[in-house]
Amino acid sequence: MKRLLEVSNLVKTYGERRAVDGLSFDVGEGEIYGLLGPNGAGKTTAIKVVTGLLPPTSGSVKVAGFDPFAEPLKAKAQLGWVGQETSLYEDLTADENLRLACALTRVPRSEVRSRVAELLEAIGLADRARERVSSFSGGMKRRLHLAVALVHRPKLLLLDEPLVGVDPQARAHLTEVIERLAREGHAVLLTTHDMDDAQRLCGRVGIIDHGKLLAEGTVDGLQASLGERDLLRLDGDFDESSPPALPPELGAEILSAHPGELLVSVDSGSEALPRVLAAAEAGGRSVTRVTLERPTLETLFLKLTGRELRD
Amino acid sequence: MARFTDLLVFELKRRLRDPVSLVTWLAIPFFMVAVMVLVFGPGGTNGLPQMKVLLVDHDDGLLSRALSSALDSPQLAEYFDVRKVDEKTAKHEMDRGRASLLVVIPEGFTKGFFDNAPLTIQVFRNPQESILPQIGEEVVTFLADSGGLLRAVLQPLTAGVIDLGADQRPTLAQITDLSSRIYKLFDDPAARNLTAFDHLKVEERHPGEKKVSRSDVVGWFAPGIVALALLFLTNGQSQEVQEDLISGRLARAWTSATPPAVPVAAKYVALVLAASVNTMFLVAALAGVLGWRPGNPALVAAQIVATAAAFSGLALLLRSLTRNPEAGGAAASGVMVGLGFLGGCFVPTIFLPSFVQTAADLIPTGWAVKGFLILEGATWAGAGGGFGWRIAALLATAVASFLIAVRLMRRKAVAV
Repeated sequence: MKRLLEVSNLVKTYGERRAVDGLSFDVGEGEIYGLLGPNGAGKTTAIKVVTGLLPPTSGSVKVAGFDPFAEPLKAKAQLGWVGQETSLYEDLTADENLRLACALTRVPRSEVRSRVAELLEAIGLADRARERVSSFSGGMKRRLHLAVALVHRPKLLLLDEPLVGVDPQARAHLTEVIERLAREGHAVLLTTHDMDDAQRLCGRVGIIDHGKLLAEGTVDGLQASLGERDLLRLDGDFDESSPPALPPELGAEILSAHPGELLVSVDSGSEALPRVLAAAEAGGRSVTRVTLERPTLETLFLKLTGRELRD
Repeated sequence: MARFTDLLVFELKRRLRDPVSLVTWLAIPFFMVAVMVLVFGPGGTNGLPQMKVLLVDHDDGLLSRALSSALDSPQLAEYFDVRKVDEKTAKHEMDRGRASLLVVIPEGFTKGFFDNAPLTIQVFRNPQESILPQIGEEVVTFLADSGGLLRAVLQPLTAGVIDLGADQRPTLAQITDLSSRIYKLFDDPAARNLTAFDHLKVEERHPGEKKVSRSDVVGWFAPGIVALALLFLTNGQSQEVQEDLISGRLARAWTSATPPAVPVAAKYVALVLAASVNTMFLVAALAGVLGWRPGNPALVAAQIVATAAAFSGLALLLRSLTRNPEAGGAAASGVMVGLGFLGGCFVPTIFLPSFVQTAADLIPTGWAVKGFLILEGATWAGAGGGFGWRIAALLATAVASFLIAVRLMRRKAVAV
């Protein structure tokens, strides 16, 4: 598999703060790679360095073999970027937005008409091509935003939180388009703080926090690293400072203790539950609700960082 | 280049999609024209600059010297710079527009005056100026009328009605008769009209093609209004570029395989074109409706484009320095008012203290206003030279501010 994005030991600092701290990963042809992390983890900063908008403090980036800072026009010709916010011209029509993108990305004039028509068809907006974007719904704008990044047929697609704030119908449509792009051979790097999106879309995932890559692998592989353990989520009068003492023979691990909530990893939820409840009661804690869950990427993130993705 | 023109077409299309805001921006300077005509129109002569008057005295007699002395008196010297010249020099100077008024006193003026002969004083106005020659003509007319009244009063004395011999005193009846005549002259319009000096001949002498301003006020304030309109238009429309920056549209353009300055340049050129076209409409309206004669159309167009380029560059610079369109608008308003005032957009700098006039020569608004004044041929604006360097300074401002703005915007884009 040809590597279309190579990020090696990337560092980006703002004064004393290290927004990206030694990040390394790569994305291959036809692959969807997810950078998974909470807000402020450094995902967007990393993507902006890849696009060439932001110079790195150190480390290197190669887009289809080109350095975005040494050979910016060659590197940029290979990538399409979809930022978190839809950056469309609302006073232009969908058709005009795509044509404008064609002008910016140097699509040959002879091909503009066919590409625009093809993309409008692909995102389901062919019948709204002549309408101004200002009249579009949020989902339609997200789809058009994605199409704008595709007019020059980039090898690498950078999607920064592409599914945030999108209604279920548009989400399904966008997911389908992204999967199709990967099948067609595009390399896709997407950032998300939504574990479900990462699990649904990504072949490989990198978990990032405070600018560092904490874990990387396939979704199945990462989940397997957690073992076949169950999760017990207990609601009650818990707090961070004094979690209840659990019997050592249970092999239980407290993943997090927040005010009102305790998350415990155990070998078998059904067997451990009575003893966990008894331990909580013995510690003077009352439990109002218990949930038994299977481990997910979010669990792994919790285990690695001690906090949840949406913190 | 082909891509640049594609981008430019899209930018112009965006502007044409919002004609209401264009019309609104255009209405502001028109409104200001109307207000200024109301404020400075009739009676707005306080603080007039010194008027250059040429005097050709073919008589060199008692009365011609008296007229010359009157114009040169301490009371009028503040307003008149009177220079006695020969006829050849006078014509030469007037042909070059270097004076507002030429007064020619004929030979034998003093003798004719006392002989009660018909007399003609010739006054030549510079038609490229509006207010000053008008005022000068009024002053000369007043002096001539006063002379006519004086002659009417003195006529009985000089005609021997009252013989002022060395050993003879006027009788009471004669003094009463004289008093009565004087009273009638000053109190009775009919009597005054009969005796007024009515042989003042006013003509025009102008450099080159004959031009006559239809409005006094417009000629004074139009250059400032035009520059002010360009300030308003460029600052107002530059908000769109700041919105493009904040929304990430420019950042998206900068991730494409196009040199970073190109998308901004397309927006910038669209801004300059839109502001220039709007302003040309304004100039046409000022000329057609209010009678302003701005000068050579090609040079005026060049001056408008250069000014629009400089002001657009500065507007982009301000937008690139501020956090959001609201802050950008507030900063632009402050800078606009300051630069506008110092440059003579609101009030001609000739009315302002000398340090403001000096400052006007150092700032883009001053270069713009002065350039338009030079083109319209206002002699009080300074010599005709200086138009070229002002255009060059405006264009240099445009290039420098554009390049700095692009650099600052690129820095800001990564924070979006």
